[in-house]
Amino acid sequence: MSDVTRILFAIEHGDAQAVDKLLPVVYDELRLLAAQKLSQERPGQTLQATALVHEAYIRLVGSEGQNWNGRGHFFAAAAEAMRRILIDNARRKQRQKHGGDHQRVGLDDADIAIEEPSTNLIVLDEALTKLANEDRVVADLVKMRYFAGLTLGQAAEIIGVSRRTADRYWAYARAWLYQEITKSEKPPSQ
Amino acid sequence: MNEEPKDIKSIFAEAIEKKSSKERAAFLDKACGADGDLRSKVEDLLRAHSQAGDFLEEPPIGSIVTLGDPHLTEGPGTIISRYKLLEQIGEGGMAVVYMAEQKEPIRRKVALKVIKLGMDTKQVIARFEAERQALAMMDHPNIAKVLDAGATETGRPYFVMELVKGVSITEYCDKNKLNTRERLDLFMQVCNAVQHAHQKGIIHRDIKPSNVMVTLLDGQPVTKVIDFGIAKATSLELTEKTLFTRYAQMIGTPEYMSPEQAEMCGLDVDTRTDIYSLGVLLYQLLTGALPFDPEMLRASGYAEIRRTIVEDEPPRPSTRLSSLGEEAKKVAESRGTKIALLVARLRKELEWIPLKAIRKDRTRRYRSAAEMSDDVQNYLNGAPLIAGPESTLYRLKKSIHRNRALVISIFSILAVLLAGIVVSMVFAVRAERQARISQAVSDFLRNDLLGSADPWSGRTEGATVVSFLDAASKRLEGKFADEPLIEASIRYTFGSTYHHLGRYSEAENHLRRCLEIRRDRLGNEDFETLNCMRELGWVYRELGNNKQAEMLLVEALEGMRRTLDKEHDALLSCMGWRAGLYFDQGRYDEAERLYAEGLEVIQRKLGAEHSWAAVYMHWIGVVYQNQRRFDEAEKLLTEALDIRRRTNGDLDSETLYIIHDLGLLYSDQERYEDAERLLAEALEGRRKVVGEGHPETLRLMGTLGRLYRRQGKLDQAEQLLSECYRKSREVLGEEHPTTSDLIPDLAVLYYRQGKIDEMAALTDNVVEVVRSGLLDESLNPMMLHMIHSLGMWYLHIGREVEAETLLGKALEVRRRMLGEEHPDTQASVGMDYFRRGQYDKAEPLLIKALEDERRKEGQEVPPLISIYNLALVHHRQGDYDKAEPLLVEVVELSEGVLIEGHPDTVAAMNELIKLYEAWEKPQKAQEWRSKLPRKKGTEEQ
Repeated sequence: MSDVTRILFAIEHGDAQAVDKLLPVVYDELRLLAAQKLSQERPGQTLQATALVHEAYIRLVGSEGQNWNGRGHFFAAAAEAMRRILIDNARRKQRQKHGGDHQRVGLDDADIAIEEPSTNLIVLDEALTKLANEDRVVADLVKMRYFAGLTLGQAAEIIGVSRRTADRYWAYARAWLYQEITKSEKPPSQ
Repeated sequence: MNEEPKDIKSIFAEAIEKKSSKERAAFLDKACGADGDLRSKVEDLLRAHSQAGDFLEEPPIGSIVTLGDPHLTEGPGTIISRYKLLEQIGEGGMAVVYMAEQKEPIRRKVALKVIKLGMDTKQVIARFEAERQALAMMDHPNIAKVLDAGATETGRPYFVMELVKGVSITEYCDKNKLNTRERLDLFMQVCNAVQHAHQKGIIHRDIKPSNVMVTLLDGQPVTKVIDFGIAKATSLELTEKTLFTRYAQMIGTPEYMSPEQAEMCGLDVDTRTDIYSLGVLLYQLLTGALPFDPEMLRASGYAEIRRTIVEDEPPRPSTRLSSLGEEAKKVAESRGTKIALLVARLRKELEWIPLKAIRKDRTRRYRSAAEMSDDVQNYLNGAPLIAGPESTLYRLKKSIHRNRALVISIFSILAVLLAGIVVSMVFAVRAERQARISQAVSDFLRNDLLGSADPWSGRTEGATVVSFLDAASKRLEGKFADEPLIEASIRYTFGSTYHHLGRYSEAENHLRRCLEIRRDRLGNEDFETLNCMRELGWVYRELGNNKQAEMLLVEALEGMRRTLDKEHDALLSCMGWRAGLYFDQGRYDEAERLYAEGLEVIQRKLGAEHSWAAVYMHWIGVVYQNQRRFDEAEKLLTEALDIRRRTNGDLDSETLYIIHDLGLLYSDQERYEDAERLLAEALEGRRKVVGEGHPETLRLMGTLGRLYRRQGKLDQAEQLLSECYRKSREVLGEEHPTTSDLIPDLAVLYYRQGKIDEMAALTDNVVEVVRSGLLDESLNPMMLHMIHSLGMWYLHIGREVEAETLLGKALEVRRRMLGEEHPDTQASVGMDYFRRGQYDKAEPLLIKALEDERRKEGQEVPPLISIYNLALVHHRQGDYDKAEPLLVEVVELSEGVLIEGHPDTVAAMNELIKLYEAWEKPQKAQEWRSKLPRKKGTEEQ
């Protein structure tokens, strides 16, 4: 049994601390996987979060856990991990843009470059943190849907709500976050 | 702010589902009631909702994460430790290589390789340091030294190596169109380098073309193996965490990775992993392709890649090459050769070298790189190879292990086949037929059964089954000492299988012992005993022991007649074999009687139109043919052919045999057009069904070639017969009867064409064999006749040494074997006098011999030389009037038989001219002189 499987079992069996152990492992693996995936490809090649997360799952847990409940924890952790990876990158880029740390990017700052996203990730993340304080479950759903690329159906299953509820949560979260971001950046034009 | 989050969520959710703003307002009035704060919050959200567009709908990564410049911090000009990067000279999935300048302690250019992949740099360097001393001890002209290692400022490991300016070995070979030999020479250098490293305890672990460079030294290509020690340093311990790394690395070059490496029980990799990679490299050098199609490998997932490497047998290089289609042409071109030649070279042993190196089981690979290099040298020297096909037993074991169901089905087919043989043997009534069946059975076993189970099926005829039987036979000894009857039936099975594979002495051994046991335990009249007796009888016939054969077949037939039903298959079969023996002995009446008896049973039991009836009719027809009862033969054969075409189709093997025999019959009747049509049909059919190089196709080519020759279509005949001879030698070998039977055929053809040198090239061997005395034991009157005639030919063309050997041998053996008074002996004595110039003594004997020769029917070439010789004898004695008509006869007879201007015709004409001159008939002499083919001037003296 792999480390991750063991942790997932522990979570399943109510070991709350195990959740804390899961995230770093998933985070490391996803980073490494992303970095290696990308270094295998020619510049300009793209990579899908969904594929990355699923591959990480297969590697870490194995295919035998395909229909197993514990995987919800894994994907939750993966979504959080992906969020951190992407936000870290966005932060680093921002630093570079401001003429800041022009020095080497060590291995720990993987060689992932993110093209100018349509959404300012850092601002989004701040808003998301606020939302999480207000409504943890809705924020988790956003992480899964947005950062880990899961479908709403998959996310619903993991969170343990109906698909219809997930749709509603998602609509709510989008409106909430949009409002929050537009409020902080500039007053909405209308 | 968050007093009522749940409410706000559901109010919002319900609100957005309202169709109109009116409805929505009404809903909000109701839901929020007096709570204005809540109401405004919801309205803010609803506004945001309507403005958000596709906000967050597009994932942040997907199209937006791209590969950043992975080496943005290092580049030309960067200084890493003592090295200054000059230019990038290579980049792979795992690393970037720069040309760099070292300033101290010495100034030189080096190659500096920076590892791109994320890994624990400290560990990498520690591992490198651990091997550093061993690496430093490597000193070989074909190894690029690894000089240094360290970490860049960005924390990546780097390695410094001797700079090799060159291209990868595959690129070099293809660009320069190196032929196989040159490629093998380079490859041996690689083996030597790897051997050196192995002796120093260094395993490369990542041998592939891009790590084997070719550089020119004084214009000579020299290979350099680079990256020794790097793969080991950079390979991580197998933990769950590092699986990705391994996976990612593996994605780099799985094609060259040994099964044990792919299985990633990484602790246990030894020098044999390099042997595997060398094997793949050689495979690629020879065929231009990899054992496993890289595209297919990459298209599959990681687990599938691993499974392929660990389990799948790679195709043989020759097969792989053939599967390349158009690409193969290019491959051959870049090796300065043709596809067919390349395939033939691979088939002829070369491919066993890479195949041995890439065996899954590493204990079955070459034990060292040096051994592999030696084997390449063996190939170049034409010496026997260490490598060879996997033994059948080993392969069977392995495929049993791999695919139980398949193997079980193979054995059940084998069992059915063995049962089927008994039935099919009903029809096996003479040697040729027997050979045909053996061939068919062995082909079937080899190609259809074992061949399909294993792409590495044996090289020689029936090898797979035979070697399986050989191994099994050995283990049979003494195993069933307490169960003699079981032993007997196993021996019967083995014996009859050997029989049908043409391994007669092995068959005899098993069947004889089976018969001993059964006679002892079951008595002489038991069915099993009789069956074995019958089988053994026919085996003795194959071995040329006709006495034993007859004894057993007679005993078996009588026993079966007494104990079996008249219609029993075994009895029918036994009758067929007994008849076949009569046929061999020329006892046609008795053969016919037995066949007819069998036919009658079949017709009664199965119907007159049954396909078996056709077979019996066929053989009776052949008996008639041999008795020169042509009309009856034709009637039977035509009828048999009709039935068989109807029941089994035009391409059925037996149908083709009937067509073949009917063609021969027409040929005997000098109905050449009919004969040609049928034989051409049979040949076409054979080519379609069994292919160009099959013995049966070759036999038909021979028959049709002879027919052309008989018709005087000498060019067509030569084309077919010489091609047939060439192929037969290639496919069946020099010794095979089909090959050796072609020699007299071609000889007669060349004789008629006046191609003396070509003919002598064929017959000189015969002289050698006769001189050696090896044949003395087995000479028979027929062969003596051939030796005698050939001796006359050699004498005729003035090669007296050979003539003396042949004529002398014929005389000696005829005297001993046939006695002084026998006409053949007398003919030999006559030639002996003739050779010594004792014409008076020769005369009566040659007259008598010529009379005998003239009486022979169906001769394609009249006895021109005998007539000519006798004319000479008369001429030399002054009997011009007796010589004259003989010489004229030679000229007349040769027309249409020999080509125009044949030396023998010319010789007879010249002899005539001389005769007329001596006879003082200058007018006649002049007349003949004018008939001489053009080059009169030289002939006139």
